[in-house]
Amino acid sequence: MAQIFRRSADWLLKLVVAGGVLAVVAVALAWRGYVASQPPMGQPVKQPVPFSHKHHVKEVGLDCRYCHTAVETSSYAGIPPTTTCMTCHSQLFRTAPMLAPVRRSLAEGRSLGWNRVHLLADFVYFDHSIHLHQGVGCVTCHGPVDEMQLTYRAEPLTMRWCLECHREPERHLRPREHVFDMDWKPPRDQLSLGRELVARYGIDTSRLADCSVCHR
Amino acid sequence: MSGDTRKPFPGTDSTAAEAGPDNAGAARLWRDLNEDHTVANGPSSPGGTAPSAAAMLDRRRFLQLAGGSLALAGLAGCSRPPPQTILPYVKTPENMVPGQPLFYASALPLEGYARGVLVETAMGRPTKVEGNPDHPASQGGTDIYAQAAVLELWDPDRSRGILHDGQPATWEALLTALGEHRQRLQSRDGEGLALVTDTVTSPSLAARIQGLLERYPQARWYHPRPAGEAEALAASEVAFGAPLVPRLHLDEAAVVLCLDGDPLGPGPDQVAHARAFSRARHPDAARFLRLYAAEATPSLTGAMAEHRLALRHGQVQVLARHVAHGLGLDAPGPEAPGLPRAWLEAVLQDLRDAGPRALVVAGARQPEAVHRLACASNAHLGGVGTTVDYAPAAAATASPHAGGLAELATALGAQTIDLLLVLDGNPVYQAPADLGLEQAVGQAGTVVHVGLYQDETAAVSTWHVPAAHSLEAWSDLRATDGTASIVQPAIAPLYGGRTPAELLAALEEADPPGAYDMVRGHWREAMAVDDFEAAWQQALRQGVVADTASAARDVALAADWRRGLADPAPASTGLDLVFRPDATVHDGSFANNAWLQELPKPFTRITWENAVLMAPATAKRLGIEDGDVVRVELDGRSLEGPAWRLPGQDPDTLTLSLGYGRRRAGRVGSAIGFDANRLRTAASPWTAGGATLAARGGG
Repeated sequence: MAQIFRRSADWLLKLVVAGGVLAVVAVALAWRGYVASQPPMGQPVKQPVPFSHKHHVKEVGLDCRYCHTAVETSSYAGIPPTTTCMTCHSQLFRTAPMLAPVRRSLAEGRSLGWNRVHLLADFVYFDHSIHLHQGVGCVTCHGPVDEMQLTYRAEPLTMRWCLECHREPERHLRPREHVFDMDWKPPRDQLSLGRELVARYGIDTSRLADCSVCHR
Repeated sequence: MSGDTRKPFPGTDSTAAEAGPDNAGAARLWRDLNEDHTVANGPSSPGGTAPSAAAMLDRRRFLQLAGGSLALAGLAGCSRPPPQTILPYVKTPENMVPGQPLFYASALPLEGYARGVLVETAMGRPTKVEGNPDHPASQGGTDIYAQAAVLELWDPDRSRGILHDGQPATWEALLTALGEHRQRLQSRDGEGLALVTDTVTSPSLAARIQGLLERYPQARWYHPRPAGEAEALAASEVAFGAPLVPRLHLDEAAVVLCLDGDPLGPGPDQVAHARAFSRARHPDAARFLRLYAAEATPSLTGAMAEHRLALRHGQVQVLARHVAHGLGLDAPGPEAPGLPRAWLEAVLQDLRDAGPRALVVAGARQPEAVHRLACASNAHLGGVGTTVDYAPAAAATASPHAGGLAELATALGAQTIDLLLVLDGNPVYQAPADLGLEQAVGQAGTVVHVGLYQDETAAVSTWHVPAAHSLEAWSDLRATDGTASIVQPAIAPLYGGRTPAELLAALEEADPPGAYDMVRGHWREAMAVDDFEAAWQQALRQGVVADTASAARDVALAADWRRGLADPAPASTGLDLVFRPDATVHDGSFANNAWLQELPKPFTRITWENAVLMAPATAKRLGIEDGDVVRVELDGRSLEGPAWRLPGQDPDTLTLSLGYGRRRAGRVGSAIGFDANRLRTAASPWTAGGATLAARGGG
């Protein structure tokens, strides 16, 4: 009885099996990327107006709180209302086509819809104000915002990343008066400064990594 | 109850003998009769026919389904999260901090009266109601209705649009229709116009109605009579020479006797009374309040009483007479073998000892004579000005402008009404059935109904206009002590709702002003201050308008206070019926509120329906068990409902609660329970004698 498969079919079979495995892995990876809850790290998110933090913070010199007014008092930092944009842009760049959506928003009374850059799952309780009050700088989580031509996510915002700091806050803390300082650099003995700040701000490090701190 | 070995309902002195010996003094506590396993007849489902959940689902099947649901729930993780955009304000509202709640002081009506509240809003959406510490009827607390108001606001069953003959219509079309009526009304002094409201305490709405009645002298204003109001006013008119209502100060009292009164039960003053009562019962209080209660059916007040007497409705007046007589007033009562002498003497001794610190409270559903005897007893004891004071009723409807619903039914029957405006409430459901309001309303030419729901009244109306909820409307209200509050919206009307004042304005003017302008305009005149803007802002911020509480009147007992005092009606044979607003859905206006339906009712822990409440002895005599469907007959009318035994109930009394048997309440409240209004009469809306009770099929 003649062989149905030639000898070379052996190779073909191996190739098909290997290809299948690779394809499954590739599809899984692609799917994972597709369903990712966050936009990819380091890549700017498309926005209705190409807002530049670099221009407004570094070049113009606005304080974070000029727009993110609630950051010291609320869980939510606050996205500025259209009227905040118009405090300057009713005088400056009044006809710039780039700002047409802002003018339309004011004229029509419709909100500008900004796409999320930092998205935490709903089961995570996060409060901006307490982080600022305990000496976590904006830059620590949001990266060099003053260098961002377009805004992107600079840190992973994963649970592991959160816990790194919650377990050892002294590695990342800075004095309260410098939390909005974009250029503050940790001193050489950050650890001793951090430990002093932990004591001064009364941070209870023994409870900081408890589940219920974030998952309430 | 004889032969049972259960602890009696707290304070049921008279039934203690029936209850038999306590279980060898063992502190065995129970919450309802069926928890006692010595009772042979255990709980059964209503009618004994409904299959239990256990029969439909065994454990294996349940776990299969639960496991399947759990596995499938994981699939939700296989899709991309919904895209999120952040929508900031175009112009941020004042005082708004994103992510932080913002509280607005406002007021919510119950039975027409204000209860001050602070409405918590999250980014412009009302989410929770708290009490307003600066408001006299709230003092920082709320009742169940205020807590459930948020669910009512967001209820998807609320009316969402104007209807004309059941078809969607526009506000402009209604304005046109009302404009045609306006021309006819002007030429005929308003003849043929009738208004129906609930109790109106709103100063701006009352002024508007008053203006309308002056412009159209032939127009008529009808409103259902709230329990006890007319009786209290009439009693004080004879006893003190002026129509006044009592205001209780429980915290000033050392001894309180409630003659079927329920100051701690649901009502616009419940929270304030509860506060005062708890102060008077505080261990550190100067006086530790002692409470006596006589009532036919257990109430929250009776439950708090040290000495409680289960008494037929009609016997309460006999007791009131004996108390007045025993205090030295000239009011001899008929001999009443039903009254336990020891109880009566103890009450009298305590009341006499307390003197000006004593208080006698007449029940709202008792006849005028009981109110008058309470007035006389309080005046005689010297408690007026201390434990109770008398002041004019805060409601504009308290002075008799027109009639109640009985007069409305008569006018409708005579076909004298062209245009009937139902500005609030649901009279077609709430009226006693003998008025036949459902058919009578059809006799009016045009009926315009403003209501939160497309309810029974909307169904027989020509026009239906969705009402703005109190959390989304500009209005004003008075508390029972007269304190006015501005009702300010926490959100814009969800479904384009209108206030009663807006509808009235639409009848009067071609281009009606908005609710805000009307309320503000009224107070600009009423406040009469130099800096109105500051006073207005202060009233909004505080939740009360300064100096609006009505002052207590100086009263003295008239010499002829006994003039025309009605004798107690002879006790009827057969069973008494007493009608009560339901403990959670009230008169049915909260029927579609699932939070309130889910809330167990006091004493019975019944949820989601009402029952025919009876004393255990009555049930035993008639061979009725909990949950049996029974038939209650009265003068040829009847209803069927499940029976429930209630310790502490008078053995000759059945209690039926209102608010159920709704036909058009919404998806939650329709077609549950029985409609007790079917047995009520306009002449005697709160009690009836001579009822018979039988198990279904037996009679």
